[in-house]
Amino acid sequence: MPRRRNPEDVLPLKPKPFLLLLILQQEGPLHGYAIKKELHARSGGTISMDPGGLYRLIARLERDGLIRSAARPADEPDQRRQYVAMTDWGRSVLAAEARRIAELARVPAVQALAREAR
Amino acid sequence: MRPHPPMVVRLYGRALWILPARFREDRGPAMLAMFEEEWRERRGWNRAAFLPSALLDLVRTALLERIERSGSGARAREQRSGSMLTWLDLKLALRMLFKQPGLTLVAVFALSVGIPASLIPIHMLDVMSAPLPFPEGDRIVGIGVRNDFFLWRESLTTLEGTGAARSSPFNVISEDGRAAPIQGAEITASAFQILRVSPIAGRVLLESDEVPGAPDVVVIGYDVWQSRLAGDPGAVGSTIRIGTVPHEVVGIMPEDFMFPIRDFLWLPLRTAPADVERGLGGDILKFGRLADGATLEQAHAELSSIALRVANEPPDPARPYRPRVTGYTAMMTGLDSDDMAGWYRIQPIIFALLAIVCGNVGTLILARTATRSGEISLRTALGASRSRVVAQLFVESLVLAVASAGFGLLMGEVIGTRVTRSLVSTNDPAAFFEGAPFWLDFGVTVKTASIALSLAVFCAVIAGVLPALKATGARVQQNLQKTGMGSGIRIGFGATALIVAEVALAVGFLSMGGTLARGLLPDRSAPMAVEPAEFAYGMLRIPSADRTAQENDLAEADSRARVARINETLKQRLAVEPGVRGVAMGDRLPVMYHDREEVVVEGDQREQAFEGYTVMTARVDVDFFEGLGARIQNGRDFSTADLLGTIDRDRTSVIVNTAFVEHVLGGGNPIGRRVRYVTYGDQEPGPWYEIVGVVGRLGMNEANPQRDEGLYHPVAPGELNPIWTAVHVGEDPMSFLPRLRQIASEIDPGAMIQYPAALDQAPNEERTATRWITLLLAFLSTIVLVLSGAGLYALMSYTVSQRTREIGIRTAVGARPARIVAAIGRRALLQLVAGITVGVAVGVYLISMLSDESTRGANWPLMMVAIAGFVLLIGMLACLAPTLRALRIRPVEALRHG
Repeated sequence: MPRRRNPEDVLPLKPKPFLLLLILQQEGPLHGYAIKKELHARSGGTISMDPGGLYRLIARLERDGLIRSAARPADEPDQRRQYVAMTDWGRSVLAAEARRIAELARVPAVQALAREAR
Repeated sequence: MRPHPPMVVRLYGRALWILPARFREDRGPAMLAMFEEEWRERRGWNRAAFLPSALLDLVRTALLERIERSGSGARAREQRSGSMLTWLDLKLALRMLFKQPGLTLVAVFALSVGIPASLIPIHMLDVMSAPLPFPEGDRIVGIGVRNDFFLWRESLTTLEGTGAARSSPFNVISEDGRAAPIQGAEITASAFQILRVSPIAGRVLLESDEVPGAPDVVVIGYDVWQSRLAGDPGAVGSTIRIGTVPHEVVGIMPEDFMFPIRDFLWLPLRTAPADVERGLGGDILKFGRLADGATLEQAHAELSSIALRVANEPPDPARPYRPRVTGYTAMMTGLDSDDMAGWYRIQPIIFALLAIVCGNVGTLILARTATRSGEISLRTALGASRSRVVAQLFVESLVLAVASAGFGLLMGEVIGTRVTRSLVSTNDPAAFFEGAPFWLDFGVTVKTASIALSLAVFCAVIAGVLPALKATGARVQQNLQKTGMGSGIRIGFGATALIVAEVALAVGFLSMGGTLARGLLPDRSAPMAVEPAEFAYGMLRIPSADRTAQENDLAEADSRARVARINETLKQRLAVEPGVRGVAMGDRLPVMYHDREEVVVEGDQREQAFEGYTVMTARVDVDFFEGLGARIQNGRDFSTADLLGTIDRDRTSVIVNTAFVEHVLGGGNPIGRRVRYVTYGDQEPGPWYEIVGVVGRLGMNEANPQRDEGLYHPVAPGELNPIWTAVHVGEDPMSFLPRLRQIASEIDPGAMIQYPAALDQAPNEERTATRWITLLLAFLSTIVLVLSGAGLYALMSYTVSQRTREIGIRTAVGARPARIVAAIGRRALLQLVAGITVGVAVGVYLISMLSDESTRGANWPLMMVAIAGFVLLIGMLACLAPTLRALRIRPVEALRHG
């Protein structure tokens, strides 16, 4: 069961899963096309996913227990849409990843590299 | 309700089947929804780029899902038993395909056309005999018996329900006076139970509606509801006028329901009992549903025995009565077991052609494999078994073949959907094109797709395993040991045979294809005496007020008088419309398909031999030529004096066209000469017809305008119903069409104008078919050309590269490059010339089997020379490149070559 594991064990997250979890954390349950548009917007246009790739990613995150399928809102006109939401496990993994990045950002050598890259 | 999805979205929906079933079930609908939403939001170029990107994404998803799934399984299996195929093979194979894109492209091109093309006969059968799209639709049967069936149908035990329908156009008139014919059916209430389809609103027809004198009710189809009642939610209970009679709408059927053929509204079938007893009542379709446990054969046996027993007339040997029960769709498409057998007989020939295509691809793969013998021997040295190496080569060609089949199926789906659409044109009930049953869908079926994938495996075996076995044979390994690295595979005599066969096939097939295609191309040099784009046209149809009137001469005379009155009034009304220059009526109009008959000319020497000239015929109104604005070039026009007596016996005046004078009469003055139709056997010869006039070319044979000879017979008003009506309006005929319909329905509410359009758009099945065949031939020829070019190039350059060592030695001992090139060229030339000789012989034989008409206009000897020259050029180029390469290598290097 993934829940018994330590969130640190599955780190680091790759950019797409990380961004996807972040979006679900902030926006609540969403369907595929909405996620696609958010990913595109938040990545500054660098992440563009077609249906197959996106639903493969969703399937994988679901298998890993990071997200789960969510109920369709009552006013949803298109019955085919699938909504997904964050699980508690997903929330703790996302938090752990955020902590990891924040800690990383505090390392002086990393800061120096980042300044150079700018 | 969502709008009807665009074709692209449906295409994507169909393409989803390449996903593994589990993934497709879980995610398919959501993916489709996402695709559709994005498709609708995108615009312009962005939108155009979206489909290919989404399809590629789909292929990638399918591949990755399958690899992951089979990968985890296969790895485990391999650890257990050292299995032959692994996901690594698949990865390597994919890499190989991208590494040699040229070869991949040629092979994919060949197989993606070859595989679907070879499935056309099977696919057609599958489509034509597909069950009706209703619950347990395969148990719905068609019943071929006389109409006295209604008296005894209750006694059948093998059928749990029987029904009947009669399909015909009905003139539906809107509140605002708009009139349009809509195809509909008078149908028994039982039909709806048999089909097990419920209305989306209101009710279906009931048995009480069938009682004569019951209120007039109608059930309408979804399209009629949308187009004529604007989708009004309160449509049930409203009234529509059909001809003169108001009908209450009692129900609306679902969108895809168009039973029995392609019908959009349903009225109760009220058959007069007297008709039924006499077995009369017109052309009524009968159908039923097999009872539980009953088979088609049992139903057929039971029905035949009863039908023949109760048949109330003595058997007539000239018109044998054969009651029959068949599948409903088979009955409607007229497909019987003999037809099926015929189609299946063609299939092996087509598979043989596919095998040739595969052989070509195989040649390419063999030539490539030969360059990899170093890799193969290395793998063998490292301990790979022969089967292991063959398996890898097989997976390579399998991936190639499956990808090609998938691509081909996708193309097949696009073409199939287009064909379906061109048959049906649109779902607009007013634009209905007669004769295309609603369930026909030429798109890819599950059966076709699965056969295509099996064929892909077959192709992979021919094109992959055979070369692989050859490349890994024991002799090859010995050769390698002797000569170190480099190619150890010898194609030798096999290569010469392959080159000769390749060249022969290309020259022979291309000569025939080119000749046929040239013969089919329309000749634009024959101008027409009228300009079809200036005419609006449509079919004027006047349904008879009482359908049983056909049985009654008196009523028929009445009905003819009514038709004549409507025809004449329409002509007069149109003549005074502003902008109208003339009106012409006939059973055919210019550019349409015309019936063909055989005629002989009085005094012609060939009369005795009962041979005849094939000519086009048409029956036209006496004002036809005047209405079209076609000048009578010689003699006189028809007049009412030509209309005395009955059509076939007493009326002997005909008008012929200039092509008739030229080809049939051989020039001279045609006026007063007589012709008659050819009769066979003991048949009484028909009357002689006297030529009274000559007109110019009026598009009687658009498929072959050079053979346009034809003759026109006069008909009296009212003798033809329905009748094609052309109105000369000059520019923009389309804008006149609503007015044409309006005038017709003003004259008589029952009169309708069907299939209105501009005359240059008139459908001509023959011309369309010709275009398709020409296109197909051109396409096939291109494939043969590209394939044989590529195959030849691969073989030639391979055989030359085999002689690298020889070239090295010659150069080392001081031979001049020109001598070496000449030596190599001589051998290649011999092979090519041998191939061309065989090819020309094959081509001449094939062309000699074609009829004169199909080779018309084609200068085939010249074409053959051109094709032979082209093939020769490719062949010589193919050996020039490797020869020059070999000459550039230093002799010492060359000597190290195999």
